[in-house]
Amino acid sequence: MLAFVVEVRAFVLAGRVYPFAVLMAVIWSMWVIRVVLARRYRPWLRGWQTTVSVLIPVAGEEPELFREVLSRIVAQKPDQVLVVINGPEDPGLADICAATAGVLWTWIPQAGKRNALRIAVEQATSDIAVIVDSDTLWTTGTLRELVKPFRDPWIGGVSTRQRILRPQRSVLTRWADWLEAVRGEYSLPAMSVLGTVGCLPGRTIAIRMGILHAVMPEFLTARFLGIFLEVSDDRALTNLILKAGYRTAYQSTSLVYTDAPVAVGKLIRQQLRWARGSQYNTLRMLPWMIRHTPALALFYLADIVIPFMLIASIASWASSATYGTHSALYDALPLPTGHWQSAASLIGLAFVMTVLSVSVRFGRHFAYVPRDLLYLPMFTAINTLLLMPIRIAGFMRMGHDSGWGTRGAAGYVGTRRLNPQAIIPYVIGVLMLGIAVRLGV
Amino acid sequence: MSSHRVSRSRNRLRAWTFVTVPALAFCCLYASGVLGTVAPKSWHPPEASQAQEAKHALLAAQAARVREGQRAHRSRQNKLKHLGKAPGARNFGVAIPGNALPAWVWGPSKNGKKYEGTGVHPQLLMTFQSWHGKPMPTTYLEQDEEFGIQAQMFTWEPWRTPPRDDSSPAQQERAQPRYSNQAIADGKWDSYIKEWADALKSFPHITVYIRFGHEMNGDWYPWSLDPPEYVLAWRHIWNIFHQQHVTNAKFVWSADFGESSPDTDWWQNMMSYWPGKKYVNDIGTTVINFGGSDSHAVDQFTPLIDVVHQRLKMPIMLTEVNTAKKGRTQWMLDLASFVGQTPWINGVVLSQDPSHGKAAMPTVGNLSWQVSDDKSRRARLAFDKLVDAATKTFGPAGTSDGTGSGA
Repeated sequence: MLAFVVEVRAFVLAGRVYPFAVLMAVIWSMWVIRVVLARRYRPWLRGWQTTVSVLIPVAGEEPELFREVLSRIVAQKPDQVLVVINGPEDPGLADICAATAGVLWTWIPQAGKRNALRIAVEQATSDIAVIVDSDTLWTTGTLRELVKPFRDPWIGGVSTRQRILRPQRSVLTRWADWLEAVRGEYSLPAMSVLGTVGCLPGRTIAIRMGILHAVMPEFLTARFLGIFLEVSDDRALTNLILKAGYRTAYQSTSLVYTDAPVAVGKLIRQQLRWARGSQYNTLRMLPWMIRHTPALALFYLADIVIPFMLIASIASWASSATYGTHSALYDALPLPTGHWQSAASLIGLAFVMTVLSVSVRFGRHFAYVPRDLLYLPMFTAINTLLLMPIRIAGFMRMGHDSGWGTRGAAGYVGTRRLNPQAIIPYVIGVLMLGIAVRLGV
Repeated sequence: MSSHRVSRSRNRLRAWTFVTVPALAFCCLYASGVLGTVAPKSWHPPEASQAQEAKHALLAAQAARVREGQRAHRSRQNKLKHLGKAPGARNFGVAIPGNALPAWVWGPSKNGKKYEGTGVHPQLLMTFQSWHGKPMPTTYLEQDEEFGIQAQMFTWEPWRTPPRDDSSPAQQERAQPRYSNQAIADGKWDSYIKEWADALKSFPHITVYIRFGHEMNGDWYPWSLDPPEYVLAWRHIWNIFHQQHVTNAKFVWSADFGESSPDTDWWQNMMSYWPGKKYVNDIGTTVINFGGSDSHAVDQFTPLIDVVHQRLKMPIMLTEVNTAKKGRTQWMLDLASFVGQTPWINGVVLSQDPSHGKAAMPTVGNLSWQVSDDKSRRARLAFDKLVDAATKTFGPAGTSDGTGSGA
């Protein structure tokens, strides 16, 4: 933040533009837009009666967790609970389903979430389908709150607020919980106010059954960049709801808990999958978004561009370290004289400003979990060193077909074919990297 | 229940915002210097800091200029590299005042006006090099490297160039004993010649044409005074280069074939300067139409060029070509037509350098016009035709008249 302020000062006084200042300006502008929108957000309060089928595709889930997931869902008395075990036969899961009253279950040997969903939809009879991940725990009133927005006939899909189970377990779970909180407090309410939540998070999504039936063929086959991407089904489904002319909403009073990876390797794989899926769908929906929901296009484009801008900043720092021009910026600060006092107070001021800026920008999380501020250096490290490169890698690898539910020998085909269009994201990505470095240096 | 939770949350968030936002705002204002007076005076002595800021601004500006300079230099270098063209069997060369090839190709600026430039990328650059002051070829060869030129011709003049204002041909021919053919043959210039040989060797990728003592068969240069000594001097230089193992040098025996009829005296006089085939890689001639009182159409030169080619059985290079401004278009078209039909002409070098001859002959035409700022479309087209003709390649049939390549 200190760097941002002194660079803005240098811009005002000397007209010099620093890439980091531009990056921060973009981040803060996006934040202001989100906050202004999110302040207008209100959850739906009036109750609404409808029929609900809960659809749960499951594969290789931990039995104890799954039992808990199922029992909590059944306790909220939906009209139907349909479990589709997909992939290799799993007697443990089948037993749990059989032992839980009110659960209809099937097993299909073909792995893949989308296909499992198709099987479940064929059996569903209610007006609203609630698609639930097999590791997502509902809380009291999740279902009751979730269906309230459907009172508005133009709302096609609704999603919940989500948090991480016992985030105190490790730094990674704390980080994941922080990200979820930020999403639930800023991005989702802001987009919900516009009626266009760009991605209903897949842990629990409620959709009108009619829409689901209508979009199912496209959901199962749509291709872009030469591939059919199995992952990122939630974003794909949200896209289809929006394209069908319905609105999507966020219901903050409907809360679910989910697990987060505690191993770095698993976290990297999960984030890479999300980065690919999300940016793939951004590019795919871009023309539609620009025409119909420009604000959404802006949010998602910023998501793509920000990692590249960070590269520009790093290049610029590297360049100024080489030429020794940057440190002069800080010499104009009113700080105590003397070598050590000045260095110490500079670091102190930078630290205080960083903490304060994060406290302001993510106040809706840190106000309630101020302890997380202690983990801020690690959050920053994860964001910068892990997440940003993953976002860039995810962008480049967008056109590669890869599995996700392919846990067994049986899986959807097309994973090993040469896809010439896979080169497109690489070309765009390398161009953006080149521009970023060029701007930075 | 849930609404209670929400309202409690709001209070907490309000309190949080109430503390953090003003604190951040304060820090930002402080860091930006707006609240300078908050800090003790010693922290921020205004004069010192202003001086410091000015110094830092200066340093930053300097660093930016250096970087900008480096960047511009790099991009200029890259651009310059493509000014020349790789030599082939037939080459087009040019001698430009000040060796200013970039302006010649891209367009010069004169009196605030920007001209179009020739757009022609020559294979060879020619320059006149007097021996006075013992200049070295290194600067030119380095410039060749910068321009991407791979063939350089030095018109190597063993004399001290006389002042232009009093150089009638007779005065110009006056003996300069220090630079005489005899002095060269006697070895008085050996160390200088060796230095040249060594210098050329360090640019092995550039073919260097040594056009020593040109137009020797005329009567306007001191090296024409004693033909036998001229031959001795030539061979002496050649021997030094040979002993120094210079492999990238070519000796161009460049006479002035003239524009009269090919009689016996003409041939005998010229051949008295001939050092022998062993010592000559290329034969050249000057082809200049001075205009005015000394106007010569192209077809006045061609019969003599043809005779020399027939008798010596070697290709001919037109090593110094120029024409007066008046009538240039037709003259260049005629020359292009001749060169385009004559496969044994293996090079055309246009000289745009100021002419010695012109200084000695007040009644001739304007020889100082530059093709790079010529506004006449037709003259430009004629020039382009000449370049095309000079670099036009012929099949094996073109060289089947028994001449082969003397180079």
